[in-house]
Amino acid sequence: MSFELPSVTELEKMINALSDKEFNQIRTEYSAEVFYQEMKELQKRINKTYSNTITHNYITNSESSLDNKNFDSKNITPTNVDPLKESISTIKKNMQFNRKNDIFANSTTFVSSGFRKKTSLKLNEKGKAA
Amino acid sequence: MEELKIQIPLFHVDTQKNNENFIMGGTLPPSLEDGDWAGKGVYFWDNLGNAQYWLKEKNRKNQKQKYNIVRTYLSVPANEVLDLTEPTEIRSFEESISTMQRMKLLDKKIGTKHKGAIINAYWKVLNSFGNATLFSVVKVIGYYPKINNSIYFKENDTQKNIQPYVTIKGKVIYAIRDLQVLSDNYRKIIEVKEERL
Repeated sequence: MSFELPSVTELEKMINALSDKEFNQIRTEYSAEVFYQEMKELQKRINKTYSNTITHNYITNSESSLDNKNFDSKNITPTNVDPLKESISTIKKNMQFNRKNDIFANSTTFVSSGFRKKTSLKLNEKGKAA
Repeated sequence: MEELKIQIPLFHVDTQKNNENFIMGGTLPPSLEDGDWAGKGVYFWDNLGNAQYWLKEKNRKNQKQKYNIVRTYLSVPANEVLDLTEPTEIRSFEESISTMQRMKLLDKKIGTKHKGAIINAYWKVLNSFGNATLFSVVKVIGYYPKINNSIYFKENDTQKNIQPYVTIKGKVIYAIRDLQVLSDNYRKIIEVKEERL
C-alpha cells in the first residue's frame, strides 16, 4: 500500500480550482526548475568540451615548446576563463536566489535591487571595491 | 483498520556541521539541485553501504569540506509514500502528468525527463487543494551504471541485453519532504573506517 494518487477526474477538478495566480506560480516554478536542469546539462557539456580544448592546448604547447630549454610541462596551467562557464555560474546563482523567493514573482525587485547594489559600489585607491 | 506504517532505518550524507545539527534535533537543508531525481527534499539511502559509496563521492568531489553519515529512522504511514518503484503507482503518476500537460499546467514540449520538477509541480497542485492527502516521502531507484565492483554481481553481455538479473547498480533512494517522519530518538552519526570507503 502506498500513496493513493487522485484519479484523472479528481486531478482535473483540482487544477480547475486553482486561481490564476496559483496556476501561474506552479507553471513558472516548474519552468524555472526545468530551465535550471537544462543549464546544468549544458554546463556539463561545456565542461567536457572545455577540458578537451585544454588537453588539445597542452599538446600544442608541448610541441611548440620542445626547443625551449626552460619549458616545464608541470608548470602549464590554463589561464583563460571560459565566459560561457562563468555566465552559467551566474545564472545558477540567480536561479537559486529566485527559487528561494518564489521565482519570478520577485524577479523585478531582484534585478532592480541588484542593479542598485552594483552601482552603489565604492572603489578605493587601487580601484577595488571598498 | 490499523494504519499500515513503513518503518526502516535510513542514512544520509552531509557536512559534519549539518549532521551534528540534525542529531541535536535540528533539520537538514533540503536538496534544491537534484530537481531531476525525486524532487525537493532531503535525500536518504536505505543502507549504510550505499551511504558509504556516496560519502566517498562527496569527499572526492569536494576535498575542502568535511562530510559524514547520519543514521535516522523513518516512521511514516504507507499512504504518505509516493512509491515510484511500484509499477501501478508509476502508471497512475504518468496519467497525472498527462492530465497536467493537457491542462497546460506543464509544458508538453519539455517532455517528461524532468521527473523532479514534475513531482514538485504535482505536490503543489495537491497542496493547493485544501483537503487532498499529501505525500511526505518519495521513493525511487537510482541507477548507477558505472558501479561494477563485485565479483558475483557483475553482468555479462547476454544479461545486459535480454535477461532479468540481479544487480547492484540500482540503489533505493528516499526523498523526505517532511522531516517530521524521521524519529528523533535514533539519530546518530555513523563512524566509517577509512578502509571501508
